[in-house]
Parts: sequence; C-alpha cells; structure tokens
Amino acid sequence: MQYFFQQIVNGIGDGAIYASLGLALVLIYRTTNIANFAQGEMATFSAYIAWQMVDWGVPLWWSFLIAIVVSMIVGVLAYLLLVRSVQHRDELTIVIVTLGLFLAFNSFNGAIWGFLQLSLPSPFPEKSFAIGALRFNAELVGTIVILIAISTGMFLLLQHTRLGTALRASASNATSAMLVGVPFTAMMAIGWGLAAGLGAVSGLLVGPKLTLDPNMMGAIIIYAFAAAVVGGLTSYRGAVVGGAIVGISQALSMAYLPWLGSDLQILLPLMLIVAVLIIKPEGLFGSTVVVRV
Amino acid sequence: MSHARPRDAWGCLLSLALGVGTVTIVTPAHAENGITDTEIVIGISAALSGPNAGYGAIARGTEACFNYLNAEQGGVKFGDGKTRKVRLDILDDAMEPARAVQNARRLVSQSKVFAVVGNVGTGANLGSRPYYNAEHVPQMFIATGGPMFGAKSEVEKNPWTMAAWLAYNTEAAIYAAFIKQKFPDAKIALLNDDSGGPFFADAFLKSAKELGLNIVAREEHTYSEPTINAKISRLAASGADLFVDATTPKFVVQALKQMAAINWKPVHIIWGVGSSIGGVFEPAGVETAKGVYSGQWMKDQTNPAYANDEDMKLYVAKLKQYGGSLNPADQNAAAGWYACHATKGLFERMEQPTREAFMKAARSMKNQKEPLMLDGITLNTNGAEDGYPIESVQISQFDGVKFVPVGPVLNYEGKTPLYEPPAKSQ
Repeated sequence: MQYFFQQIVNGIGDGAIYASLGLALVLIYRTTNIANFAQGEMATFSAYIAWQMVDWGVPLWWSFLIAIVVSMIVGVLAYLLLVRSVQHRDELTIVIVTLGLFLAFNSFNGAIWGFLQLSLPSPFPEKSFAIGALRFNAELVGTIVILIAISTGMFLLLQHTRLGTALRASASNATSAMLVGVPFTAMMAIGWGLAAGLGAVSGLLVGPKLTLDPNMMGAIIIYAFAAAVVGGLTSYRGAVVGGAIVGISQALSMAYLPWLGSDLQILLPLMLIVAVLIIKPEGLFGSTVVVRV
Repeated sequence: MSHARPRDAWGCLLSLALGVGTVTIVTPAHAENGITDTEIVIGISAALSGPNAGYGAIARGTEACFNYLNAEQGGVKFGDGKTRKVRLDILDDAMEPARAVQNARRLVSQSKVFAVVGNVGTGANLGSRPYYNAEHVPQMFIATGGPMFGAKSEVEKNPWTMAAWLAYNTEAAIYAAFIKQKFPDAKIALLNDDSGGPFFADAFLKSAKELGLNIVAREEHTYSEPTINAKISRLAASGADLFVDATTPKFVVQALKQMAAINWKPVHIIWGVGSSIGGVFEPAGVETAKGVYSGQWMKDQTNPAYANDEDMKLYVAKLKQYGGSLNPADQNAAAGWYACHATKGLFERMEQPTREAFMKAARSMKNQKEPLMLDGITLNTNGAEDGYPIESVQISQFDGVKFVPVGPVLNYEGKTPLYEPPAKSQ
C-alpha cells in the first residue's frame, strides 16, 4: 500500500510538471486561439535566462523575475515579428510557424548554452516530509501551491477584468472585437507575452527538477498537451487536474503494468486524449463552444 | 542491386583480359585518395544539429585537436617520415543513419577523404558501415560502445571499421565481476536506457547468471520519457541493495535526485557514460552521489584528482585556444581529443601512405597510450581476433569531491564476452 501511495506522489510530481506547461498552452489558446508547439522550448529558454543570471551572481528571486520579464518581451516579439504576419492564414500555416519557432529556440539554446546538464537552483528549501513511510519534498508542495495560484489568477484575470474580456473577445472573434474598439494586435501580443511569462514559470519550476539542457521540455510538451486536452483546452483548473491525471496514470501504469514496456508507455497520454475526445469532446472541464449557424 | 551486375560482369571481363595487372593498377588509385606528401584529408560525420547535437562536441573536440597539431607542430609526422597537415571535412548527420549514409557517399566520392574518424553514434555508424567497407575506406575510432564493432565475426565481415570506446559488453562484464568479488550476496536492481543500454544489460545479465548473482529487478526507459521517478521507486520497492545504473547523464541526475527524495540508499554503480562529476554529480548534488562506484578509462576534467595532470592541462589550454566555445568539462570534447590523438598514433606507425597500411597499424596496436586515457589503460588490438581497442577499466569510488581508485585496473584484454546479435533486433 505504501508503494501504491508513493507512486501516486510520483505521479502528482510528474503531473505538476505537465500542468505547469499545460497552463501556458491553455492561456495562449484562450487568448490567441493558437496551439503553440514552441511553448516548451520558449520555457527552456526562460530557464536558461534564469540560470545565466544566477551564474552571473544575481540573487535567485531577482533572476527568476528577470527571466519572466525577458520571456514576456521575447513572447511579444515572437508574435509581432513572426506570428502576426501569418495569423490570418489557415491553422496549418500557424502550426508550421510555431514548429519553426520550436526548432529555432531549441537550436538557439544549444548554441548559446551548450548541451551539458546545468543545475538551476530550486526556489524551494531542500526539505522532505514524511507521512508514515510516504515521502515527499518541499519542491512538490511548493509547485502545487504555485500552480493552483496561477490557475486561479488566470481565471480571475480572464473572466473578471476588462482586459480579460478583451483578450477573450479578440481570440473568439477578431473582426467583431475590432469593430467594438478592442485593439486586436495589442491583445494578441499581450496573450503571447502572458503565455511566455507563464511558460517561464513552468521552466523555472521544471528546471531544478529535471536539470537544464536544451531538450528538457522536448518530451514534456507532449504530456503537457495531453494534460491541457484532457482538462479541456480552455480551462485552467482543467489543465492542473489533467496534468495530475496524466501523471498519476503514467506512474501507476509503470508500477503495475510493467509488461507494457517503456516503449509503449508513451501511448498512455495518447489513449487518454482519444478517450476524452470521444466521451467528452470539450474536455473534463472545458466549456462547450456554441456557434450560431 | 540489379545495377551492380553488368558492372561486375565488365569487371570480370576486364580482369580476365588484363590478368593480375588490373589489381596493381587499381589499388594505388584507391590508396592515393585523400593523401599527398603534405596533406591528409579526414572526414567526420556527426550530430551537429537535432536532439543529439550535444554529441557534436566529439567532432569539434577532434577538430580543435587537429587544428592545434597543424598550427603548433606543423601537422603529424607519419611513419613514412613525411609530415602532413590534417584537413578535416565535418558533415552533420543529426545521428540519423540515413543521413550518415549520404554523408559517407559525399565524403568518399566528393571530398575524397582518406578515412573517416570519430563518426558518432551506434545506429549512424551501423548504417554507413557497409558503404565504407565496400569502398575500402577506414571508418576509424568511431564514437560508440556498440559491442558489434569489435566482435570477431563482425570484424571479419567489416575489416575497415573500428570503435574508439570501451564496448558496453566489456564494461558490463567487468561490473559483474566486481560485484561478485565485493558484494557477492547483493540483491541487484538494473536500470538501462534504450540506446546503448540494451547491449550493456544483455551482457550484464549474462555475466551475472554465470557468476550466480542475484538480480531482483530490472527497468528500461526510453529517451522520450519525461521522468523516470516511477521506475526508480519501483526498483527501490524490489528490496534491492545494489543499483546498477546504465543510462545517460540526464537520467542519472534524475535517478540520483529521486533516490534522495525517497531515501533509497543502495550500493550504487553507474556506468562510465553517466558518471561525470561536472556533468552529472554536481547538477544532482554531490552529497547524493557520494559513494557511487564507476568504471572509467578516460580522465574527467571535472575530477579534481587531475587538476595538475600534464595531459589535462594541455587539453584544457588548447581546447580553449582552438575549440571556440567548447567546454573542457564536456566529456564529449575530451573523447574527440582522445580520438584525434589515437588517430595520430596510427599515422605515426603507418609505414606507407595507404589505407591498407593505416588499417594494419590499427589492427596491431600494442600498449598504445594516448592523452586523456587513465594511467594503466592502453590500446591493444590483434587483427580480427581482438577488435576491441580498450578492454580495461579502473573502478573508482566518488568521495564527494573526486573519484578514488578502488583496487587495480581490471584488465579484460581478450575476455570481452562473445557478442551475439539480440534476437529481437530490427
């Protein structure tokens, strides 16, 4: 039984990683209607910025703050310089552009910081708690608290502020939004900036856990998408719960279905996505989109 | 294949018409490619982009080394008395076998290289091996621990190919013997990745069985798994008190962190691939890695034990000068530096400027010692009988700061386990 609960804790730990990036995916989808495949690599870039600051002797929290601000600026620039010119094309074009961004950030990170494992300090104390024989550390608890805070904050921002309404309006119907005076380009740029900032938080949470290398987020992004889709691509709470579901099911399948082998275990998030899309296409927490025809 | 037949037929007619003469005319034409009295052209195909771009440091390390030799020593003095500059042609294959084959064609037919040196990756090298062997172009000191490259039956079929690294099966057998000697009653857990790991695991399981060791759990992971925490917990739950970890640096770091988190403290053996102090132990936290055993054959710049080592000082200084942004702490760069010098060693023993002479030198190394190899470890080969240049390892234990040798160098010269292709391969 202790083994079972330990694996649940492992699953929640992994799920928190997926959820952190999943939140950024949800945010950019909500605000710009784009699935950004480069989100993970941009988060890795943010983590490198923080590492660089720490390496130059900047205090940890300042390093994190600088990394988040720099990432937001880079996110805005990525939108204004690259994505803006293709945003009205079909979805495939936009996907290809974000894939291009993926490669660009990945290569850039490798070229600047190399491919060795780097150690990004954790913002949390190196404490671990034990409940009975069950062990978990401060990092896990801290990560979960931050994720819940972010998802609540994002919910409040988008649902209960004028900015949030304008962001959502631009995403759901660009023409109508512009007609009522919403500055569309600015809203899109803000969406990219916010998502990049959120991605930075993800990179800063994940970096100390997985150690930093250019491909740190390469595998995570698939599971982050799974978390976001399972939770419903439009729900912040959903992304967090979705992450936990993907992480826990993955840990349990490793623990109790070892015959699946390491090659087939990656199919699990895929099966979850398909199952959710069949049974509840809007995701567990997603809102149904009503279109007048 | 069908295209080859008419040409073969013409070749037969031609040799019938010209008799033995054809052979003597053709051979020098082959041998002259890529070498003059003042220069030799060497090709490298390695991952310079893509997810494996980190291994590109091997090629860059080799390049830095030859640039240094060209600039400061005028090149390399060959066995025939002539000093030649070494010109490199480096191509990117992203470690994909298909691109490695394309590069092989380009290097041989367009760049007209004398040989390729230090091509990176087991799969990429296996893919291009038939081409180099068909063209009789040496595929020398390739950067892989794949056991097939040194096995007798394979060397007989592919005499132009030789690896540079300790083979995974040799390393596995040495650990099994070490465990038998030091921890005979251990309950062993084994973790390996899915690239080089299976070769290691197969040989380890086989040796363990022969020695009567008790393996209680085994896990394999793929590179695309985000974390291996659940697998570490599973291994810990098996009750194992000795953990053999054969994965890449990223996952060794994760394993160490998870072991600390769940308070699992077995005797810990990490293979050489994943035991860099700077690349693994420091990111994971040196406290966690204290007590780890690892078998090594190369010096690690991040090991303070080598701070005053002459080889190491030269390597660090020249890599800074000629290697651009290369980091001396990167063991891949060090591997490139070593491959360059091992090749230089062959050039110095090569009596004629031919590929045959180069291969002859490669297949008859006797106690060849090269920079960055650990003291007491040398390169030895003997035709197809012994195709593994490195078969000795120094087991060392990490004391929290540096590696401390445990016992003497374990010499497995001629004792590498027989390589059998895995039944499920391809």
